[in-house]
Amino acid sequence: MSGRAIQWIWDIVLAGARAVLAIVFIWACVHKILDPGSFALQVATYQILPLSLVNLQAIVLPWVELAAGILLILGLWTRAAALVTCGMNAMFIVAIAMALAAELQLQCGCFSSAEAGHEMSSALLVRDAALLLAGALLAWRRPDRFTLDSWLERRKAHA
Amino acid sequence: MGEEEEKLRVALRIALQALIILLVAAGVAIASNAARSDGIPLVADVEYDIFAPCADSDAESQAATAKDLGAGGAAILYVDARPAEAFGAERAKGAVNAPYSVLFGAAPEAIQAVKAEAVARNVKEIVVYGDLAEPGSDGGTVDVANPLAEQLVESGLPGVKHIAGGLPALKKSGVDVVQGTGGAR
Repeated sequence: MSGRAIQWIWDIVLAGARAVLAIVFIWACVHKILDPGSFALQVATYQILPLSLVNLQAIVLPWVELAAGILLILGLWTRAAALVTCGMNAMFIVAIAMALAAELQLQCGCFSSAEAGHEMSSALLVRDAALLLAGALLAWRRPDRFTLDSWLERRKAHA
Repeated sequence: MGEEEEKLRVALRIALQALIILLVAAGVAIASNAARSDGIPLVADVEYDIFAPCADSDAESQAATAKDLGAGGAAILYVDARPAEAFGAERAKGAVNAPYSVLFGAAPEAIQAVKAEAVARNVKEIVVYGDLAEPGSDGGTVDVANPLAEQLVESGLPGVKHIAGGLPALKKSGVDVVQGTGGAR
């Protein structure tokens, strides 16, 4: 297989990972932004953060998810946005692992309100580990050809 | 520029961009929270009312009737789940008190005290009794022997039983009862 074909395959893989990660994070932030009070309660239920940091986390996290999601879908600052998602996914993995270790029976609060979320289970760890890997891949590799980053780079090279 | 230097420069640029994403998102988040009518305080001023129960334990205390107790002459430690005042007024002879709150359960210190007493007396059977007056009901009671017994089982104590009917049931079956203020036992 030629180097050009391999590059195309990489571009398609990275674009796919970027789209999945962007959709997941944008989807995840919606209910948190719409109902910060419920999300703050969800954060508190994990019993990890001190009370003084619970609300700040509940206010800021969804907007970071939204920013990372939008940047990923646009392909702008792709590697930095992917790095941010890696940080968030690592944080989610630690929180879920701690809740599982403490045998807390709670909803993960990832994509919906506490009443209708996903039950805490090790499957959530696998999902977040997969998203962490996708983010790490995007942060490590040069952005694919379908990103604004690549378009700006090509434009700069031709200028 | 060397390859290593270029890699470092790219890594620093990515880290700086990530920091900018975090800071801008945090700024927008805090501003929008301040602007909206249903915004929440940046720092919570009261504890959240968390309800996150732990998984049910497989261990369960055994229900018993007053007649079953002390089968084979086994030494019994009676545990009174009622508040200290009721315990001080009247209790099974030799009982220890571990007041059980419907909301908060029994205090860890009380559970430890029961464990220490069970070890000190080398008992094989622990019998929990106690009903609480049900608020707002005319003479109704809430059985707290069962939940306290389960708490004791979960703390690792073997041979825990609970009986329904509280102290009156024990008295009826002939268990010795002592009265008056006088702490435990």
